[in-house]
Amino acid sequence: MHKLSGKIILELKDVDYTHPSNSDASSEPALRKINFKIREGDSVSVIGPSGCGKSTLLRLLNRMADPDNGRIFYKDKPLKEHDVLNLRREILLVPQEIYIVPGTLADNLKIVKRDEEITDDELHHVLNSVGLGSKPLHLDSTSMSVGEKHRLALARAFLLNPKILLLDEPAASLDLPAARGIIDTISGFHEKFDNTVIMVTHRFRLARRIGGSVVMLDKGRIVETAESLDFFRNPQSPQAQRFIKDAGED
Amino acid sequence: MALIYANPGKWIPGLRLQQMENIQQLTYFDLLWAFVLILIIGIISVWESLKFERDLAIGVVRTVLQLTLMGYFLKYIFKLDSFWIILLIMIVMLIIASRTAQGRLRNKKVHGSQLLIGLSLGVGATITTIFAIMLTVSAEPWWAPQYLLPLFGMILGNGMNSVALSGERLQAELNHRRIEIETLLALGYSAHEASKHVRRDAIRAGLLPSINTMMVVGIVVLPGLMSGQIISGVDPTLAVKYQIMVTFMIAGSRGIASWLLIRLMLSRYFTPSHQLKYWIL
Repeated sequence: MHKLSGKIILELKDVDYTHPSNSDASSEPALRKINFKIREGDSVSVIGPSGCGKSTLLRLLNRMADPDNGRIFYKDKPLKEHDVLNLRREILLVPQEIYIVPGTLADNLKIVKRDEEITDDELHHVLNSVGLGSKPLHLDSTSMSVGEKHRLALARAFLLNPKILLLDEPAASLDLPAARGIIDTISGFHEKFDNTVIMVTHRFRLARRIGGSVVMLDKGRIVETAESLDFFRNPQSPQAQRFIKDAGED
Repeated sequence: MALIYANPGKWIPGLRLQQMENIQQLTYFDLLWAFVLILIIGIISVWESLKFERDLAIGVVRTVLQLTLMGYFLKYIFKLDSFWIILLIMIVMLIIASRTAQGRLRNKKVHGSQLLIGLSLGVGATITTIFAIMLTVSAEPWWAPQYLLPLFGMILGNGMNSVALSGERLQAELNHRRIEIETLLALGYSAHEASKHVRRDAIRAGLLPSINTMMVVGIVVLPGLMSGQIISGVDPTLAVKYQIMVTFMIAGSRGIASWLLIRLMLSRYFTPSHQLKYWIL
């Protein structure tokens, strides 16, 4: 899935970020000197222990936050020079915590294209692609299980068909079989549309399943980047070795 | 009881006060009968061990002192007949109202919130007072203190409660709906679109007391202004007209002040790049 021939679509140069705080006490930087490039059609897993800056990195990529130092380029143009609202539909973030609109399944999908009509056929089609094809459009969304809510969040993203899909722990709080199902759905979408997928996860089995390349973060710094197969077979950094060893039981 | 018919019109200091002498006069001795009611509460407090006696005594003293001083102060201000003094008093009232409303906000992290509250209250109260004084009452001069100060005070007091309710609701809703707002922003919604529900609920919170009052006024509630006018001898139909004007003015100022405050405050919670400043929630 890692395409060395693809054009560079996203590039981070010396990116630093510290979470803003209202108190006078200075806080630790969440990200320090982040440098990496992502090619069109890549799938990248960002892994690392809790609090290492994985989710923060995703937020910088679709401008939910801006770096303190350094620059991020999208299609060779600084991120800040793109129209932010259009950019967020091209580089789409699916947050870890899923917002469910009180209403039906259809209501939850229609929030994605607020100014455009979506036909029931389109909705059925996208629900099929995430494994919710058997669910009626008028289903009360509050009655959905956690796994179904994760699939609903993916369905919203698939409706927009973004150039880059940012997934923050897309299978959090699911057991391994259910999580694998989610990852397979993402892989299917990635293969079909050739989008770039960047997924944050703390579960190395899921990162290995989606393949592509791996960026390992620790304490806000990149400690290792490698092809997925190489990373899991032969991790170089002590942090990556420890992470894989500790996560072995997952 | 002699009836006088309040006739909005030319304000002549002294003349109006002479007219007031025709109404049923109250002496401080008369007020002692009202004090008997306070004594009854005091007896209940002792009887039921409410330990309320000290607060009650202080409350009685403060009520008598504050209102008596206010009465003499207003009489003095009316005699001074100076627009600038009236303006100064209104500014002081606005500052106190802003500080009080800001004090009721749980989250004080929004930079300059007192200024935003003052601006919203000031705009809401000024617009509605202008409508009332210049277009409805047609007082001459337009700043006649007999009309301006009580109306401005009423509008400000109600506006203050509204902005406090709206501001507090805004902060609560932003916290409660953070995931919703961030999800919508991530889907390419603007900050204005993503905060639509928060804005709606916060403005409604400020307006709701007025809407509720309008539903029951005259049936469940006889407003103080109207009751006071009727007691002092004003024709009830005229008192009703004044009350309708004041009710609409209060609703207007509550609506304008709440709407403006929420628009101004919400802009402080987002960056120009449509990012939620979660650290000040």
